[in-house]
Amino acid sequence: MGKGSNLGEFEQVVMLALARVGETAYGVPVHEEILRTTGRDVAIASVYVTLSRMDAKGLVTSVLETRADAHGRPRRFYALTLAGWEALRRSRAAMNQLWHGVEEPEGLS
Amino acid sequence: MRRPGLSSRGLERLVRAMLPGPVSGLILRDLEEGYRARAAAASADSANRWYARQLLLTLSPTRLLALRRLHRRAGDPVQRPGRALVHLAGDMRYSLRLLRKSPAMSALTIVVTAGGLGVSVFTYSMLNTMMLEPLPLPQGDRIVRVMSLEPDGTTSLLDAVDLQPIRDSVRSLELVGAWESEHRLLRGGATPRAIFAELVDPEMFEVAVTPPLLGRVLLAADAQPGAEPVAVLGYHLWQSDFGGDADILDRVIELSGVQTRIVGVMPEGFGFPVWASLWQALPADALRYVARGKRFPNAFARLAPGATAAQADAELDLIMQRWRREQPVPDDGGEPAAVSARAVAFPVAQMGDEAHFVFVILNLAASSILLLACINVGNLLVSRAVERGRETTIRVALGAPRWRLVLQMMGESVIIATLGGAIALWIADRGLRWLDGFMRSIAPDGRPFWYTWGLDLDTVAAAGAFVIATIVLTGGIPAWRATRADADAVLRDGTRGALGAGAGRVTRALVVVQVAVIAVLMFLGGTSAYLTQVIADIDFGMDTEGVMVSTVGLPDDRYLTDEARTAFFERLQRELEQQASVPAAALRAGLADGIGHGSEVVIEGQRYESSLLQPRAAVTAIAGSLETVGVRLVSGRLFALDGPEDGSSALVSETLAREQWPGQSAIGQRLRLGDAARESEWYTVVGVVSDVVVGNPFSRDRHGRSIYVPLAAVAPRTASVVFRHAGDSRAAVLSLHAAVEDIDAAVMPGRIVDFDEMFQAMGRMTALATRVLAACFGFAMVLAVTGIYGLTSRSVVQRTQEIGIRRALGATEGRVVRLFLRHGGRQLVQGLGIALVVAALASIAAAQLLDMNPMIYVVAAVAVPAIISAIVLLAIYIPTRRAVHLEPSVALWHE
Repeated sequence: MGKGSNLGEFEQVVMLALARVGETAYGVPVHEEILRTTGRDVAIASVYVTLSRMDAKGLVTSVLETRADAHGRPRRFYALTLAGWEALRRSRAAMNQLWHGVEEPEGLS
Repeated sequence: MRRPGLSSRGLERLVRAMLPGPVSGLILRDLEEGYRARAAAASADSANRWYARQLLLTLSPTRLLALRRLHRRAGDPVQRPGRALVHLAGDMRYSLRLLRKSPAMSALTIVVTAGGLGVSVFTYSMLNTMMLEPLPLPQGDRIVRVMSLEPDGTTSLLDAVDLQPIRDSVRSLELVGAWESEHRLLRGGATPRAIFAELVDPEMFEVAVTPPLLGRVLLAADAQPGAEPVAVLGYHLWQSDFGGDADILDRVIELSGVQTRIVGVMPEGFGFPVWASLWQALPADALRYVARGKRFPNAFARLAPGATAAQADAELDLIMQRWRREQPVPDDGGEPAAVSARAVAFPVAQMGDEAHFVFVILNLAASSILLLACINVGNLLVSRAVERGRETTIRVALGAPRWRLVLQMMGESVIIATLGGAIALWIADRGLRWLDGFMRSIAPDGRPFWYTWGLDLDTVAAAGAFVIATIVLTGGIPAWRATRADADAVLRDGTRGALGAGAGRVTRALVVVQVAVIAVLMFLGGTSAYLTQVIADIDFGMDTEGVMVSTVGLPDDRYLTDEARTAFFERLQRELEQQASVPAAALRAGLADGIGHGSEVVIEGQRYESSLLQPRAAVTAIAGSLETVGVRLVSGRLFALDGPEDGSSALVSETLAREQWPGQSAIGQRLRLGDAARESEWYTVVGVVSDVVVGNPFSRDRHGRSIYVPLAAVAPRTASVVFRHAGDSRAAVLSLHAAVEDIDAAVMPGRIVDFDEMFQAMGRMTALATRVLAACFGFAMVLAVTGIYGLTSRSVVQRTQEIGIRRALGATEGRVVRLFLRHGGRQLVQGLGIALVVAALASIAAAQLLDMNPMIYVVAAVAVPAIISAIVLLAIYIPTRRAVHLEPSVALWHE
């Protein structure tokens, strides 16, 4: 496994939020989920940039809604692919490995 | 629904402007949803803050760049046209805003485009009607003429003998028939008059399919030997000579002495085959027993079902090959059978073999005016595109699809060309109606029946094509160029208005081209205006008032000897002059044996190395008073009027006498006609007469070298009758017919031409040509002048900041103005240089053909550059002055 296929932190955040939201995952629910769970009010545009990049890598898949809204604006729905799940799992395993045996010094928290 | 606060609107618009529609839509829709949720859960204020922050985050450059490349998937539905239309509407609104910003300039571009398009559409439509459209008859595209194919590839009328095998065996053509036109003296209508009768094979009406308005058409039985003489009237003749009488059927009229019953009337606008006003049956055996070389009827046919013109041509080749083998080779040196025959569309046959060439050339001429208009409008749009070049390049760098940018930049062209096209259709419609009316007025029944002009589907389609071409030329090319610009170079071109090198080069080159084009146009316009003046002023050297001309041909079988023919014509001349209403009459004929206009002359006592060095003169045989044809006696005597003139007398014109016998009298000198090597009779000059125009009236040597000999010396088969008549042309017809009938009822005079009417028609045509030329060149001038002014002044305006810098650095107003004038002068000189070369070439070519006063060239060579220089320098001076008067600080910030 090459170095390039490691997930970045924000990528993991977006993908996990995507996984938590489930089926109707588009920009707003993903954004709200991130806000609710991490407290970070990220830019929706960034969510899309990230999703789009992972779409290109094959980690997520997307489909453009066939019917736009009254203003002619379309909506794109995203979902994790098997490769995406695999990448997430690997990232968690790597983190777990790293955390394993790490003792926090006393009195930090 | 609640809307985000005002402050966010601008940001929203920016997001939309910076991102492709689908991407900005995706994000704005989500943001709106988030906004609504926040406005519902918390307060409108916090929702607004959140919304604005999100928009700002979206607008961060790195995110914008990333978003522009938002991943597209193969399975995505294609963008729906509805959405594309929304874009298009946006682009159009943007373009309209640009156009509204400078209303005067926009109006000018629309007028210029409309003019260019109008000329092109009009020309195309006019020629299309004349040449390309099928006949306005049912299945008109299948009706053809059958023409003889000459060895040189041209077509001409078929020999009646060659028509027979085609009629007998052709399969790809049906209803092959012949027609001939003959003069008839019509009695029984309003007044007796000479008309053309079309003698047709009755199949013609089957080919034309058109049912009669009244009665019946001609039938095969009408062509049988011994059939009752019947005729079918054309609508126009029925109206003009019979007052549209509804009881016209079965009325008997007299056609050249033959009692003929009218059996039908054809509907309005029907003149098949060409301009028929009355139809009679061509006797069925009329062409059957003719010798070769005697009769050349017109032939019509219809393509058989499923057959094409190409198939017909191929079959005609085969038939004629076989026919040539069967035909005995003529041993008297006469014409052999035709090489082949061709099925030609009626309009093309009418225009002659050059029809397609003419069509292309005239359309090219009209299109070049459109091209000029396009160059002008394009120029203006290019300068605008150059100004927006940086905006465009930034958008390209950000990844905007090129086609959208091109489309947006073409928006202005689309609007201009569409509006211009609508106006052009109106112009063309007016022009075509006017042309139709004009042609009706000068030739009520002397024009092919399909020459009816007006807007039709073809014209509208052509207008559409021209509009698209205009859009592409004026908008597409500059837009494409701008979007192809190297983004890096343009973005770093920080010259703040002192033009970037590329833009400057384009503008300068355009100015040079414009100067050259306008100069050439002015030169051509000036010379052609002079020419039409020359045409209008041509003095034909004769008094044409009341002069009538007709032709009389003698039947071969009745006038076998020279004496008989001479006697007929000399008697006709006397009979005519005996009539009270005819003060003078003359008969004239060109000489036989090729000695007609411009025959070689041999002067007694002169030697000629070659026939090329012999003097040439128009030779006319004449009986009767020469004054009738406008020739005055200068010295000596005219031919004796009482009694036949001695066949060896001759008269010469002043110019010829002066050239051949300088300083001495021509009277008593002797000359011969024809090649010096050939022994021919000597003529003795008995008188010198005034010059008349002979040959090409515009040619250098139009002042006639003429020789007149007595008619008896020639004894022609056909002669022109020239006579003065006190009454109008209708009365004159009767006089002529009466005189001819008195001598021999079997001889039929031809149509009578009234010189006055002819000259009036010519005058009207000349005036028309002058007006059309003046309008065309006037419009072209407007084009060129506006173009030049627009370009030069714009190039100065673009350099306003440079002017500010120069002024700030201490340049005086005068120095700046002079500097700019000098720069403009360079382009002026280059453009004029090109024009001078072109104009010189054109005048050398013109000098070969036309006798032009050389002063015209001198005047043109001085006046044209002077006028153009004035325009260009003014176009530079005015905006430069304006820029110079700006405070340097203002000029520096000038956008």
